[in-house]
Amino acid sequence: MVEEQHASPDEQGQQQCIFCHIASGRVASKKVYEDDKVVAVLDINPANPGHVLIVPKEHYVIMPQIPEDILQHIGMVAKGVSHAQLRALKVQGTNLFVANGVAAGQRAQHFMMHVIPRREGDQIGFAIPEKTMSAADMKKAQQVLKKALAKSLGLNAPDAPESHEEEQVPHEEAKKEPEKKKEVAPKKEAPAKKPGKGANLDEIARLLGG
Amino acid sequence: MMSCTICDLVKDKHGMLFEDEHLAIVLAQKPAVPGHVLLVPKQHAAILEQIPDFVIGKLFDKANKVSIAVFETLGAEGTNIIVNNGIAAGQTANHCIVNVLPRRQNDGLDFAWQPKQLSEEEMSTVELTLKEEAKGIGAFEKEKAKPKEIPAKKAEEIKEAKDDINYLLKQLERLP
Repeated sequence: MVEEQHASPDEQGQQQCIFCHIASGRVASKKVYEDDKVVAVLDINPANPGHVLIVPKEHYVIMPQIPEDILQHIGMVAKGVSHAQLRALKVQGTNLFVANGVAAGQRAQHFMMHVIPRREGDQIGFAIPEKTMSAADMKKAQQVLKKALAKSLGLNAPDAPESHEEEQVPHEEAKKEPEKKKEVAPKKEAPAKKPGKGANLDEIARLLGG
Repeated sequence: MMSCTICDLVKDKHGMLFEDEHLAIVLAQKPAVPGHVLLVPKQHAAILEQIPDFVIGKLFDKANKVSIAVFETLGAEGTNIIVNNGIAAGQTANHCIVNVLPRRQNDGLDFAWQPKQLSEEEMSTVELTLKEEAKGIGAFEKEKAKPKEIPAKKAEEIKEAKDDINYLLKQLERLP
C-alpha cells in the first residue's frame, strides 16, 4: 500500500531481483542454455538432479505480464530442455511447472518455468488429484469460462490478427529486425481493475514483491 | 491404434471452451479444483517431444489466456501450469496435456518438493552433460505458411515483366 516516490515497484523489484542478475550474468549460475530472450539455469535447490529453470531475460513477475512471443519461446525452449534431460540424464519423464502467484507456490519475484527430470518412484508430488463435480456445476463452469476465455483471447475484438506475409515477399525479410523493439513495450502493467469482481493481477504480482 | 480419451473428448466437444486448427481447450472431466482446464494438441501426441514446436508455443500462450480468464472470473489468487510428461512424471492419459489449475490459499493442493542437496561436483557434472545435449535447442519448427492467392494486379505485373523479356528477346533476333 505504500506509494513509491521515484522508482515504480516494478523498477525497484528489478534492481533487487536475483533472477535479473542471473539472466544478465552479474550473478554466477550454471547455465545450460541461453539465447536473446531466455536463459536456462540449474536450480540450486533442485527437486532432482538436473532441475532446470527457464527464466526470461526481461523482468516479469507473473505470466499475464509476459508478451505472447516470449511465452511461446519459453514453451519451445522447455520442450528442448525436457528432451535434453530425457537423453542426457536417462530419466523416464519430466514435469513442466509454473507457479503464478503466492497462492500457487511462487516464491521468486521473477517469472520462471521449472523443468524437472523424473524417475519412477522418486516421490515428487506432481500427481494432480481427480475429483468429481456435478453435471450442473460443470455446465456452469463451462459457460463462465468460455465467455471469459473468449474475452482474454480477444475473440470479440474487431481487428483480427494479421496474416504473415514474409513467405511471399522476400524483400520484407530485411525489415523484420526492427520488430524486436516492439517486444519491450508491454512491460507496463495493465491499469488496476476496479475492486470487487475478480482478482487483481497487480495485487497478485505485488504480493511477491514485498 | 489405441483409443485415446482425450482425442474422444475433443471429438465429442465435451466441456469444450475453445478450439482452433491445432489445439483444443476443455474443462477437466475430473478436476483437481473447480475451473481446472486442459489444453491439448489436436494431433494425437503422447508426450511433449512429439508436439511440433509452434504448437507448443501456442499451447503455452493459450494457457496464459486461460490463466487470465480464471483470475478474472473465478477470483483465483494464483494459477499453476503443469505438464506431467511421462508415466514417471505422473502422466495418466496417453495424450500430452497442459493443465491450468486455479489456486487459492489453503485450497488443499500442494506441489512443493523437498530440495535435494547436491555436491558442487554433482552439479557440475549435470551442468556439463545437460549443456552438451541442450546444444540441439534452437531452430524451432515454425508453422507452415498457407498457400496464398496472388492478387490479380500482381499477376498482371508479372505478365508485363514477361512481355518485357520477350520484347528484348525479339530485339535480339533482329540482330544481324
